[in-house]
Amino acid sequence: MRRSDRDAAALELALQQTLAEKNQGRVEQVQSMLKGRTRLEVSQFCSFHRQIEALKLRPWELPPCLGDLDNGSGRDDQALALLKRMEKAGVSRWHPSPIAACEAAEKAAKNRI
Amino acid sequence: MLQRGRKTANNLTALPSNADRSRLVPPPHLTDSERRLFAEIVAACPVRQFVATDALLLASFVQATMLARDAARTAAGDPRALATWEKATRAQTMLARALRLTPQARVDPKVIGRNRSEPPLSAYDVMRMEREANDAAE
Repeated sequence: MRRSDRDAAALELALQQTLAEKNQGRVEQVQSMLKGRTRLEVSQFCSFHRQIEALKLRPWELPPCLGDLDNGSGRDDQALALLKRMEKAGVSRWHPSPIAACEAAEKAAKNRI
Repeated sequence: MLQRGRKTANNLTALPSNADRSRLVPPPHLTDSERRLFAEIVAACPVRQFVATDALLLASFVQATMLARDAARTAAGDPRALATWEKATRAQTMLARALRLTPQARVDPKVIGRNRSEPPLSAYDVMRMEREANDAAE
């Protein structure tokens, strides 16, 4: 699968997972965002949100989709490490469940050898 | 009533010092690896945790721990090793309780109850712990 296809699939998965959440406030927020913003922007927001949920991140920890972001105070080493692991395993940086996706991809690669 | 003027030596309160309490040393009958584990446990506990007479009990705890560790390596394929592991961990638990090394000996149950409401570990905490464990194993 090409990188762009992988990213598109991961972004769509994140959007669908967010729209299926029990938290109706979140669902309404995303539905409202879809009316005024591009689908790409909203999906990226959903991926950001789903990764934080899946990894149980603290407010000061960055999800891997922003792992290479340096906002002036240095990078988040853990986020960057996970992003590198995702890239190595061929997992999109926008995947909503980074660790699970990496483990599945790594297992599949091991079985191929 | 407060005493006026300079205090005499008798009036000065001496602060308690741990300097006179030396750490427990491993008994000579232990092997090198047992002695290392003994020293690690003593170093990880407060100075006042053990007195000289605890040395033999702590030595038995160390031996039970080493036995359980060795048996655990082969327990998957050897039923006798599994039985050894079971007996060793039972002895280890009993001795740990006697030496007050278990979590129950350190923490008030009410505190444990309060800590349950703390947020779970993040994936990054787990990654950090795994990396530290790998570094320690190397």
